[in-house]
Amino acid sequence: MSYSIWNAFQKEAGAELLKLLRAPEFFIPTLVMPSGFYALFAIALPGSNQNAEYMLATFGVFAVMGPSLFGFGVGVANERARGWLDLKRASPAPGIVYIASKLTATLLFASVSLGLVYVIAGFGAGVVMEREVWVSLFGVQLLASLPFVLLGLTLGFSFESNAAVAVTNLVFMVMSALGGLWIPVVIFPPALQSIAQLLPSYHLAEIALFVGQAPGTHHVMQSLVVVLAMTGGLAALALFSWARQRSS
Amino acid sequence: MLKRVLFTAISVVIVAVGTVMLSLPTPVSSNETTFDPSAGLMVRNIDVFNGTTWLDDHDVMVREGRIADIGIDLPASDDMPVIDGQGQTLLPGLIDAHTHVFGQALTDSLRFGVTTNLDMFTAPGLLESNAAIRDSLDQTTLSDFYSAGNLATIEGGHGTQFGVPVETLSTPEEASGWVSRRIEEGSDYIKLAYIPGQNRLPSLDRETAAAIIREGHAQGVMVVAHISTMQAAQDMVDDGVDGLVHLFADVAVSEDFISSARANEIFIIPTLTVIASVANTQSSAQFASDPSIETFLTPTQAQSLNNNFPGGIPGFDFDLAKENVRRLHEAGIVILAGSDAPNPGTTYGASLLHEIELLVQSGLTITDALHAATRASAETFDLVGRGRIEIGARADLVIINGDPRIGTAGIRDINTVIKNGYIVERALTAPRTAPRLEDADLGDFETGLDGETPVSWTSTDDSMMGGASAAAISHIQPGANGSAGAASIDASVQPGFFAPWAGISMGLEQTGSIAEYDSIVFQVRGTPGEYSVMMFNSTLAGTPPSQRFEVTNSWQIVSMEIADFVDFNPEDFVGLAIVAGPQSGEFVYEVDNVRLQ
Amino acid sequence: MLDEKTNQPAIIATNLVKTFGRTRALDGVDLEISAGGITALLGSNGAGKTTLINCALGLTAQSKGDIRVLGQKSGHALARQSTGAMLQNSDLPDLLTARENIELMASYYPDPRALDEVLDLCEMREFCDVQYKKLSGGQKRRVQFALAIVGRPRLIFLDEPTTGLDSDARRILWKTVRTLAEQNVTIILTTHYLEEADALADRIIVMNEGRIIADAPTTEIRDTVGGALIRCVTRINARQLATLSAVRSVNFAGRFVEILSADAVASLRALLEIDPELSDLTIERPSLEEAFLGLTNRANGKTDP
Repeated sequence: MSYSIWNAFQKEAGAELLKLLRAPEFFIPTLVMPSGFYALFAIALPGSNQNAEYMLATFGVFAVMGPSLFGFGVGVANERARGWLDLKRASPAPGIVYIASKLTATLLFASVSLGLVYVIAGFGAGVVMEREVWVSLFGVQLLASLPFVLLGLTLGFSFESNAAVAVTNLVFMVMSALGGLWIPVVIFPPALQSIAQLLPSYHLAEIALFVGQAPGTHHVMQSLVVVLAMTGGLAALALFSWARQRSS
Repeated sequence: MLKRVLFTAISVVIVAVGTVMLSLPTPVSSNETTFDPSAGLMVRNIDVFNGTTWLDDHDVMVREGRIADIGIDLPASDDMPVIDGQGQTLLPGLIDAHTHVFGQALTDSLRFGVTTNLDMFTAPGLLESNAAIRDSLDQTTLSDFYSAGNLATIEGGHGTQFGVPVETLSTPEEASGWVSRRIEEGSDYIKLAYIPGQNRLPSLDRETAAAIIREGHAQGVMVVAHISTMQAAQDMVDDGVDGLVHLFADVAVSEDFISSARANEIFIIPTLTVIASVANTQSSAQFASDPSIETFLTPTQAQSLNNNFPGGIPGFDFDLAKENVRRLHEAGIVILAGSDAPNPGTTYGASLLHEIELLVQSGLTITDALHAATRASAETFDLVGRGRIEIGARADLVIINGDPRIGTAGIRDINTVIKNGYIVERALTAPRTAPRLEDADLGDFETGLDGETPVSWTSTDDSMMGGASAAAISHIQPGANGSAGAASIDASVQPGFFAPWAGISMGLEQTGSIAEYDSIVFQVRGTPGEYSVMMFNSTLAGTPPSQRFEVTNSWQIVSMEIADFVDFNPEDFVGLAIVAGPQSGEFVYEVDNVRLQ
Repeated sequence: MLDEKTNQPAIIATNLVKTFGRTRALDGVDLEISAGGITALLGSNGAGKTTLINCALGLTAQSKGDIRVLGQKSGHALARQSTGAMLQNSDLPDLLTARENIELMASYYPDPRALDEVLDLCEMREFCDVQYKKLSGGQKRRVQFALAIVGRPRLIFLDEPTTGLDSDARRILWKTVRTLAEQNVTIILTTHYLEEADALADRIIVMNEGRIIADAPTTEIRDTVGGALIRCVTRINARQLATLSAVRSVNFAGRFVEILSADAVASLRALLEIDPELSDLTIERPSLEEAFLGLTNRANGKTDP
């Protein structure tokens, strides 16, 4: 049976990619927006080289967050509404194939979006780092998509498609802005800084900043523990939302 | 079909991201210096003095900060830089057994091949992280040092006159606690001053000195004594001292003294350089004029070498001192080379080279003198890996041009100094003539304390030297004569440091020459009293040149000739200070329009 | 893979109950459908047909009772591997073509039909490479049907399969269904095209308000319920008509009266006795619609004496 699951996964992953590629009006903006923002903040706005390196870490997290939240949040909500998920459930399709194939497509998408940011960082904003640092930062940021995938799943299972779009957008904005992904948290007033501590985007950015050897102190161990705890919590939440919508 | 999409996408992404990752800019590897320390260093065909004996025409290999191999025709990899040692001599990094670490001591001594200093009294604040620093094999511009820290003396006694706060003691009962505190501060050994019968300064009494020696030993450290008479020296030897950091020059050494010294296995650091200076022999001035020395002296060092003690001090007969050295050495007493820098007539590093020559003049062979400046001190003070060239020792080395065993040139002509396996830049980096300071306007305080000029104004007070004064500065409006702003200073001058001060100071990022200016002018008003202007050179050691001025409640213009600042080098101007003191009190004053004319 | 040779029933439901809040969508359903053949589930909206299918597919968990599909618990992976479904409201991924959707569904099954075979069977070649969102409603339903059969299932659920289909498309689908039935596939379809149930199904199960009110071979339903449909023009009024012998129900359609009778001969004799001037008389077997109406009315208590 493992042959079939692998086969099913490949086809479904291919299908997910096709669905993405055939909607250029969605995926091109989502792909290009993080690099566009980054170019704006790190090059066009006055700021030193140091800022560009710092922002590479935070904007990278931003770049993977979009595909994860929307791919899973809105994507799942839509497929639920269409009844497609029910049809899959009635069929012998293994549930894991659905998640894995969506995840694959998301990661491929995120990689490209992230890569674009890196191109701008390296060739436009003048960021210079050791090769191992570039690569490990990229890896860490890709991994950062996981908590957002889980969050997206929760949203997708909990809301109807129109509401899901709105809520996902809201979550996306809040995570980005208040998590300090565009403007460093240190600039925020203390009240907002406390709020940032509650957001996975903030802690993931801290880890990225540490790996990217950006200037400033980053409490990486603390953030790592928080991220792991949040990921566990989000996984449970996703599971719970899935179970809940299943029985209705 | 669907599968194909997946694999195409995966391949494309991997190729794209991979290409990006491989082409992102990485830091250009740092300058390839001619000698890449990580590859090590090979000195070939050099005459080696290993601290005890000579190994002629040998190779010495350095790796990772240590001596890796010694021998003939050593094999080495192609990328190891090679120094051709033909016609040269390799010595272990020199050890100055008696200095006082202040100011530029560590950089200056290293430039003259002194890679380890044994300090005999300095501010304890320097000791805190010193142990870790001196064990490190990282590249450095500083010589390593061990220290006595705070010396043991009575209130008002020897050592208290230099402005460094000293914890004194006067009774034997205090010895135990006093010694523990020194060890806690980081002292590697204890030094006490025992100068009874001198009417210039009071001294610890013998009981207390003996108690200190006992306590030092009980708590696991050596105790050395500063003495200036044979009687005092004898007392200390009898009481169990480990060594004397000066040799007395009042009388000829007696046979009793020699036998007790030998029996007690003490060591002596003659410090002939300072005796020569006290005896006004001008020996150091001569030494300082030698081109191979002079080129590498900073102006301050040159000044120090050329100074002599004011007036001769009775009890310092230089010839007697040399004779005593000879007799003690022949009797087998351990002699160590130490300069007592930075006393007048001495300076860091260079004076150890001078001391070696003076020891030879006293009758030691060059080999014995070199031994006294290297291995002997290392063994006496148990300095592991120092003062020797052997496998595993630190790569602290000096290359001398020529062979010191031939002629009387001593070891003045230093070719290369190596510290921790890295070649040390000997040449003085600060240009003797700095560029002319263009902007004569040092502070108009129009919009704030720091203006357009490359100048920064900060508060300054003697708390940095352990004093009790404090100053706070701020910008106020308006300023003098209708100008937009001025600097306001709140200074509290308190006794503590021997020359207390508190006020405002200005620093330049780079030294500049103000030789073309005549005077320094500024406006001031405030709490009436006597204030000072201090002028700073980059090679500052000791009190900066200063001039006093009066302040009244209304704005006054103060103008001072730069030439009036004694010992100030106008070509090397790095800052100035306008301060209250040394009169104690609370002073509030304002300063404006500071400029050169 | 389930053993094909066993002749176990395709579905066994025992006292199946499903409540949604205060509504009893299924109110104690007992059912046994054996392998092979086409069964139609009839009922008005809300009768419980879709709920029953959802339970059988494992999409909904029953509140009480038991339902076994192909010998397995409903929703069990083994059962699903041999089951295909076409649900009432399931739309497929918009941006994939029909071909891609079929290929994807095929990949879930251990032994699917070849893509071309399905395309031919469903006569879909002409639009198989168009993106799903660009297809007409009817074409979309046909793709969904293709998905139901691609897995070579032994049991297929079709929920309102021909809603929105034009008559040509319907004909093609019916043809495929019959072909599959000949291959011993069990097909369960819901419809409220009674004509369709009549045309396709061997067995009809009628549901109303969560209960099965009739469950028999198609012919028997017709016979049990109807007997005959007597249409005529007569001056006899409804009340009187209703009292006549073997009359099941009376319906006025224009100037005609339509009388559902259990025993045509008996009813006719009674009619002619009262109204010898009866005209425009036709007697036919009632359509399932009429039979069904009669059944439902009877169940709802609108029965004639």
